[in-house]
Amino acid sequence: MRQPPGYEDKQHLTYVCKLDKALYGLKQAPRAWYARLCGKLVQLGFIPSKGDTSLFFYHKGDTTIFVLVYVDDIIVASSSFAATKALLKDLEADFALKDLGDLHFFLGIEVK
Amino acid sequence: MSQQRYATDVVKQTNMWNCRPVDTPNSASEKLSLNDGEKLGETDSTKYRSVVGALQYLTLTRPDLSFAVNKVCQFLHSSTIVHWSAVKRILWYVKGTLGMGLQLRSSSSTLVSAFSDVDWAGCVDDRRSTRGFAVFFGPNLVTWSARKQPTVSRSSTEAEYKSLANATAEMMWIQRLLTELGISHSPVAWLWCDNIGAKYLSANPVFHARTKHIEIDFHFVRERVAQKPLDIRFINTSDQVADGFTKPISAAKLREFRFNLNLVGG
Repeated sequence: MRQPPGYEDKQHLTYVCKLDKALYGLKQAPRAWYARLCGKLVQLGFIPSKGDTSLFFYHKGDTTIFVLVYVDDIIVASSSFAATKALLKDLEADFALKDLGDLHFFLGIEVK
Repeated sequence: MSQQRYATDVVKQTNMWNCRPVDTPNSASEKLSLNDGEKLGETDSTKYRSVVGALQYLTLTRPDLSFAVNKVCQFLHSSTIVHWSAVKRILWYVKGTLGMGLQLRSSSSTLVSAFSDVDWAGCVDDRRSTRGFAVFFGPNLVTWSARKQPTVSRSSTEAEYKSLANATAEMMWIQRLLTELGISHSPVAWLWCDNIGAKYLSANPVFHARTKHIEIDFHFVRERVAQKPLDIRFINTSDQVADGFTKPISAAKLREFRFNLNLVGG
């Protein structure tokens, strides 16, 4: 724990502030979230796409997985159902997530 | 892919639910200008911006709206009564085509192709051109754009050539993305263009005196053509798929436009 930059208390260097409430819409938040999610996916063997920063992909043997991220809405496209299951299990270890099953709606777009 | 629920919400929220649907998103005869009609008040201006913003999100699955929405977007800073009627007309059109959406089909074709078109000096206020392109992967439409060009062009070939440069950049992005994802695609991309002058120019630097001011765009496209990943082909204006991204079109043409872009339902 450190005192946040710009809010250091010189007299009480060991003191930190108590966080009462998380601040939504902090300008650092998107980057911090991206770093966290990206870090986890990279650790699982995913490669972030250079052509589209919110797209991650995974190739190993016959298995191919694409993960498309919009903040915390995520689409998974995979060549095997087992691979999707394994990925969800790995992500569940770090994040609270809800599997909405087959893709029907994404950002107001209907998929039939 | 469709945005039926979203479209329904937009139409309902703007109280256009009981209106009579029209068959095109913009009137083919009227050209919108910055100073037409009486300026909207502050609250109405805010509403204008919010409705246009909502419509812009709808263009995500509705390329047929791209041109009309882009047009009304050009007046966000000083909207008038006339612009508001144009927005209402788009809403009436949406009302009649709520369930329309993009169809994606599986196909063995891996050709990246694009159609690029321009409406030369189409804007009555500053005489800038409107350009549009549609990029396909196999039979499926993957990306498209309808925009006013940022600079004035002195000839239609010049405007067309700038549009080719933009379409080329978009195709390069798609090709790189496919390569990166390990999806095989044919090495040569096809770019359809209805201006023979622009096509010749991409192969051979003729008329240097008339084109030297667009040199950056010129060398960009030419390099791709010379290295072969790009093949620019001529297409007749009547078969030009990107036509509807650059100008208002008739109901019959619009049906064709939607068919070519794989827009189905309604």
